[in-house]
Amino acid sequence: MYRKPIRILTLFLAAVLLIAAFGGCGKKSGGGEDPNKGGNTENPDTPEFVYLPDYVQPQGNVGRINQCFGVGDKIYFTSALPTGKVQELYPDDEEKDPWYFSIDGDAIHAEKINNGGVGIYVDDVVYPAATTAPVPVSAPEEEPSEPSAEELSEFEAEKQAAIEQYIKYDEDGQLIVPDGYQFWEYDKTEQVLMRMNIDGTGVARLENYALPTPSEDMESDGNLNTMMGDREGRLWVNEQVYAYTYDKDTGEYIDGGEQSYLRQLDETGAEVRRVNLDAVKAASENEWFYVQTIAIDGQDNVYILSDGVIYVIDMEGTVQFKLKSDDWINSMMSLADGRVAAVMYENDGQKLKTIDPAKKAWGDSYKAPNNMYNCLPGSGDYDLYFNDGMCLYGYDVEKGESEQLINWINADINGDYVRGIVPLADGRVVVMLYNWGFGGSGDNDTEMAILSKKPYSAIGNKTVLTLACLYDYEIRDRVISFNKSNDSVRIEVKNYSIFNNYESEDEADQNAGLTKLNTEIISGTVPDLLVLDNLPAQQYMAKGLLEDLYPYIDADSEISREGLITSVLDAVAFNGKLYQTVRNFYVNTIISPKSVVGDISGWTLAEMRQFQSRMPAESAIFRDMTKANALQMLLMYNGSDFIDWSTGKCSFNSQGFIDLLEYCNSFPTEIDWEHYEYQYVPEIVRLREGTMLGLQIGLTDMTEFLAYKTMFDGELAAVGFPCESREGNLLTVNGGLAISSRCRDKEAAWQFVRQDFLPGNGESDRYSYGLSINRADMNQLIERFTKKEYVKDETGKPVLQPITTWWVDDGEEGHEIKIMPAEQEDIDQFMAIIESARPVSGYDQDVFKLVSTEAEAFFTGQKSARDVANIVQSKMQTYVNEHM
Amino acid sequence: MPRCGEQSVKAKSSEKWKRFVHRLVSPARWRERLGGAAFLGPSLLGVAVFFIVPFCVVVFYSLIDNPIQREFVGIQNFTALFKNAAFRQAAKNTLTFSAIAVPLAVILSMILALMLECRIPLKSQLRTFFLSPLMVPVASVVLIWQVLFHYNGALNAILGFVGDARIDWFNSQYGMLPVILLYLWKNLGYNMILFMAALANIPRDLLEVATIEGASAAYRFFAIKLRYLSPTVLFVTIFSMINSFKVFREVYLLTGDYPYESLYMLQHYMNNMFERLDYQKLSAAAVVMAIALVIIIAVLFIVENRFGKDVEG
Repeated sequence: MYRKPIRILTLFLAAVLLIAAFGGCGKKSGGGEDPNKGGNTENPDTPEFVYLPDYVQPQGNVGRINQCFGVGDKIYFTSALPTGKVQELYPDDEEKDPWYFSIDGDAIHAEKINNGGVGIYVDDVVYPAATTAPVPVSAPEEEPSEPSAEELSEFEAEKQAAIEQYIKYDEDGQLIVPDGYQFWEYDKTEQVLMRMNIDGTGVARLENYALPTPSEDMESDGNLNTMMGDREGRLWVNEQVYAYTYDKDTGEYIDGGEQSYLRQLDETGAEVRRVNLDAVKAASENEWFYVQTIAIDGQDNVYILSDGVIYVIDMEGTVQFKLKSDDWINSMMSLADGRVAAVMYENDGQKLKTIDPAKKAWGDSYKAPNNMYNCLPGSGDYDLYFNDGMCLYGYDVEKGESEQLINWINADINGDYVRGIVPLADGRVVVMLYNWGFGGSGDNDTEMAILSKKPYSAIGNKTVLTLACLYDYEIRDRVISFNKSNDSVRIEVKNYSIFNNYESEDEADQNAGLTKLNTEIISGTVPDLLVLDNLPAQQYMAKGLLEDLYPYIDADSEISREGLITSVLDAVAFNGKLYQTVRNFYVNTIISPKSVVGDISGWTLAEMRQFQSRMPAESAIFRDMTKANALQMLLMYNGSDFIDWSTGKCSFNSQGFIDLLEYCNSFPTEIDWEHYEYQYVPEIVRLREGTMLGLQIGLTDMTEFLAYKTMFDGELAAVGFPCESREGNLLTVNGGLAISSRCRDKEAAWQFVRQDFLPGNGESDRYSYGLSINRADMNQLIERFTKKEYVKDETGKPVLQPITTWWVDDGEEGHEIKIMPAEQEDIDQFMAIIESARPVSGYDQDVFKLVSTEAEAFFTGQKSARDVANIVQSKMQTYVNEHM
Repeated sequence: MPRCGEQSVKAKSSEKWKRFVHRLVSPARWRERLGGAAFLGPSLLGVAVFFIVPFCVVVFYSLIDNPIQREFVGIQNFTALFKNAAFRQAAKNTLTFSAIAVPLAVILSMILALMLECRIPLKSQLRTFFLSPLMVPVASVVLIWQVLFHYNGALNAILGFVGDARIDWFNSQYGMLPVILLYLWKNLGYNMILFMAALANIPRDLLEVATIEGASAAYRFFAIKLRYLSPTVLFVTIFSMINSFKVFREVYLLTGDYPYESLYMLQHYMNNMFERLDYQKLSAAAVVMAIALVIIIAVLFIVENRFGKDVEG
């Protein structure tokens, strides 16, 4: 009679067990937050929403934006606004023409250059160009020397004569560059406060804004330090003002002190309220006082962060209390609920702590992500926002959770260029962008993007390719530019470095991003494109993960193998297949005067030491290194000489490797930096004195090569780094873009990848430098350095002009080397170095770890070099066998 | 015309078939089966998910070119594996280690068990002493071994004291010696307890009869004790063999990814293949190792069946 209930019970228990078993297999829906990232940072392949930008060009000159703040439909911002140009004139020959001029509008700054060295000033007084009377117009930066009145007068007269002689303008008002002078011009900027509408119109300086004046009796100068908006929509600025008077009788400036103000401004920049920060300055324990950040809470308490201390004052400027922390306070911001909080790094990670003005103490403490920097006041669902350069996150203080709102690169924005973020009430986000360098949408451009949250389908009917990388800095501009200009293909970047936890001591946590990528690849989620930097490229190549690019090059109408530097491509090819792009490259080598080493193109370590033994100790090429540094360097440069990958045989028990160990052992174990006396002897002096065996150089263009060739009287031997194969010219390539063999649209991927090979794209940029892989670019470079230009001298005889000049330190007044156009012999030697270069493939972390661990026993005198070499041979042979 | 006997056989056969069909369709039997399946389900699922399916995946990986292209390549991975010098070295070292360490672990523990069965003083203390290595964490064991066998360790200090040259134990052909000692030190105690339990189960009357009949101690051991111990010998051998493969953990902690060639084990090879994402070689090696283990265990079963077939129980 009890069987039925028992059966029901057993079935129920069995069901529970089954459900529990399945429960473990479910996808983790939350938690598991990586402390290094802002919580939910992982991009699903197809996200639900996407932020798409509408680019707006501000209708006016907005300069270089520093901070911005939105109120209603207006954006207020501080900016370094170009206010004119500064022109400079440098003499080619300081002995002949010893004057340097800096022309800033109407003011001409003149300096007499002593001893031929630019930058040795004898005068700091600035004279207006339009007048002849010496009337100072701005404060000196440094205490002037005190020449006698007679010397001063004589010097001023000389200067005035120089100005009249050299500073002349043509009919169009353009400065005429005098013979023997070089001209340089740059923007002069002023820190200003501006506003504009969120659609980019109405750009204007706040018309009634002016720096506060501390005293009517004194002159003042200063700067707008920081700007902020509070939750009431009020605009606040902090300014630092310096007061001074000029004593015409003594010609000296009298310091009138420094003032710091917090001022509330109206929308025109007129002052509404002024809070003097003297009391805060007095409460500061430092001699100097600088306001880092200001925040205002819902009760009008003002929080000032200065040098790691938070001062809380009322609107009258009275200090209520100050708060310190044992840990450095990284940032301070107001939260959406009106509280003010600070972010600091403690022993157990980053913390966000609120400030309790009632208790005059720290309030609640919350765990914060390690990438919480560049914080913004919160709004809506988020207590605060923060930007880590890759993504914008919203943060919920109570939950201690952050949510990735915008992945910059996938919103077609380069996170490096974000200068200001203004979240709007309607959910849109205005981003001010400033392209601060090479490339991108234009040099020194300020752009504005209004990002709107849209369903993912809003990207249109595009083929979406995933690009996997560990670091995306180098490709940001290229991806964004490609996405902006392509209607059918879109590249989305998955940056796996966000999964790395650098705070952990566990190596596995630090490399979690790579592990995740590899796991995804193995499980079949293969990205369409990869940036191979810092990825196990050789393994991917060996496992057939990557597509051979040679067939694509052969099929391309604009690119051909002949049009590229094939020796470099062949050097990076794997089993004859090109799996990655090369945009540009450079060659590291060692050059020596032929008078010292003869006409050789390579040497072994033993040969180098033989040359060294005939010369003084200071002639050594490798100096100021420890044993470990030397071993690392030599393994990097010629570690592969001891491994024959074609036969799988190692020769670490050879005399060559024993020599290498003994050479490394000749360096100190540690350098005593405390008692280290650096004695720099310029190369040209060492050359002259016969104490130069060789010199490491990097061939990123022809200038340095030709300069040294000139210095060596044309007798230059590129011997390379010492190695057993005597092929020590080492190649470093930039590029590393690869198409995966499982790419969903290989032709579309090629459209992106091929750009690395196009002419003009291989030039040095912010992230990489070197020689372009494109032969047309190389030919252009050769043409530039071989072009001969003649100028007739006084006798009418044509004189060959130098291509450029190369200034070298000679321990005295400096020495200028005129680089004359290259001859065919020079070009041949330069190209021979490039063609003989091999990749720096000897450095393998596993190899270095293996060798250095064993070498330690030799360095500490425990074992002989031969014993260590035998052990290394045994272990390395196993290592190589595994790879075969 | 069928004979009577034939008719009877047919009738019996038909009856059996009816009973079989009845059992098959009987609701009561079905309920019983379902109940059993429900109980077995979670375990079966666990075994399938964590053992059977992964093993099938491993076999699949061993037969394809790589996890990305997934093209069938037959036995190419196995051919490449056997051609690989590192694999051959690892297999040779692992077999050598097992061939030396496993018999030693079985024989020495049996001797210890027999010794503790005799009337000797401090039996209890000795039992505890031999079991104590089981309680020491691996990291501590490794630390102790490093102190003992390091180039600057205690053993070399003694050798230096008596005038002999120091031996680089972990970086020479002698590398296997400290690892075998470590293995024995760690495993003898547990094996000994198993043998002691088995010895306690041998019928006393049988041994007494043999003694009365004048059987020598050696005869009693080989003819009676060893026969009764044979299932335990099989179990201890299999257990020791599994443990001999697990010695990689200690070797890895002592010498890292790439030890001296004499200490390079199969698990080193597999671990390094895993690190390098070479799942094909890894899977092929795992399959080869599984086959080798199945063969060895099958041989052991056959031997045990033959040797202990006339023993009760």
